[in-house]
Amino acid sequence: MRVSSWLVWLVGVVLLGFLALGWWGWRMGGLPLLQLGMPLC
Amino acid sequence: MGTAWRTAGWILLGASLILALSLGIRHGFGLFLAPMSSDFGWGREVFAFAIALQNLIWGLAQPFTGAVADRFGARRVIVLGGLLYAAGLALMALSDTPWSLSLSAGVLIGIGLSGTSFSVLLGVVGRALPPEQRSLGMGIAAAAGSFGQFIMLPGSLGLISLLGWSAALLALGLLVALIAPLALLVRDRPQPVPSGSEQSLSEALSEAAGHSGFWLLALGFFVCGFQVVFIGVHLPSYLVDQGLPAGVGTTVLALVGLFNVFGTYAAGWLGGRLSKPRLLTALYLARTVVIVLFISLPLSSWSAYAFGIAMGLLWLSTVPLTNGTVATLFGVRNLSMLGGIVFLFHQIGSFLGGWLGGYLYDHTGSYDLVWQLSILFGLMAAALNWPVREQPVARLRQARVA
Repeated sequence: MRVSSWLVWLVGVVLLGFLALGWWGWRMGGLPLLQLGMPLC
Repeated sequence: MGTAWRTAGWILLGASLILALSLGIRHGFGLFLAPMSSDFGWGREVFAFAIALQNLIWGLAQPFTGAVADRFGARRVIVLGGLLYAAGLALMALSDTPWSLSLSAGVLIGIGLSGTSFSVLLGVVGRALPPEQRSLGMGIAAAAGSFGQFIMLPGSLGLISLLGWSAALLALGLLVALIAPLALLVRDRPQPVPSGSEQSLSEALSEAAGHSGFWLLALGFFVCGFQVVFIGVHLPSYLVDQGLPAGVGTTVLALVGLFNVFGTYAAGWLGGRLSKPRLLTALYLARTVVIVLFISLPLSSWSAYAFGIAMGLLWLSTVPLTNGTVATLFGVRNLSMLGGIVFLFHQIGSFLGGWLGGYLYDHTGSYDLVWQLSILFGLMAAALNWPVREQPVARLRQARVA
């Protein structure tokens, strides 16, 4: 299966973006709002 | 061989990313309850109804989107699902009435989720991998979905803090729209069948409906939905009722989310080595023991953290095992549709777990009865999965011999 280079870039950006967004959210104080208690499934 | 594995690897990566985006963003919807309700002066029931509707629509649409994916390939279903999901988020950002919220967050996102979540994507993974690797592959993809949930909660929160709830929803809509190009990684064509042995949709349904294992798995999955949504929605309030600080509930849910990633992967790995129905029995029994210990032993912050870790390990571990068993019994040709029907039972359980938890609390003044129901259901699910024989149906056995 041939994968276009732009798709490989997109995969990389999504992966890194995910980690960056999560890290930034935790740093912004993400934990306290979890107490709202939303379904996890 | 090398090319086949590379192809399977790309498909698994694509499926994992799509699940992480789809389930991760959906997981943070609870964060929008307070700001939206307060801006429009709604009671909490308006938002709660839209999310409950989303769960039901998701479950009801799942067998149909699964059937379309099985027949015509999953890629189109995923693209369409991703675009509907993105449109639903954009409309949710503009919602200012209860009915527009129900239409966007409930109907559009519910249908979008049915095209971009477990049943369709695990069907793709199941078809891409050989039987001996299938359970592990499903475990990896489901673990990625769990990881997305763990990451996107704080991510959504950060976006709300930075942009406000409406613009945050638009930003999440843009993120979800990435599912459409990522679907190009998901090479999924309908399974070729030997000429003359094509099974019609109604034949596939009637084969599954006549198999006791199918219904036993579905009823077991109902219990999974009931337990996880009851705990996810009501545990923080339960802990506060018992005199613990609100922050403990926060940490417990975070621990559930984190250990869920490891538990789901491990379940998929074990499912490739041991009997999946027996593992499901063990898993539901373990959940029951954990709940009994949690509500019987003296409650402290540390016992609550231990509960969060243990339940996290047992949380979505049911997903690769249940879908993997459906694949073993009936093959992968109609896996998304049959997995979708089983998932419908999960969603009915989810709806009841969330709703009944609140209803019984309001009528009895405590969660005791719902905990007892969770224990009873856990034992029932363990018993239901035990007799399921992990043996392909006669049609598949004959095809293998031929």
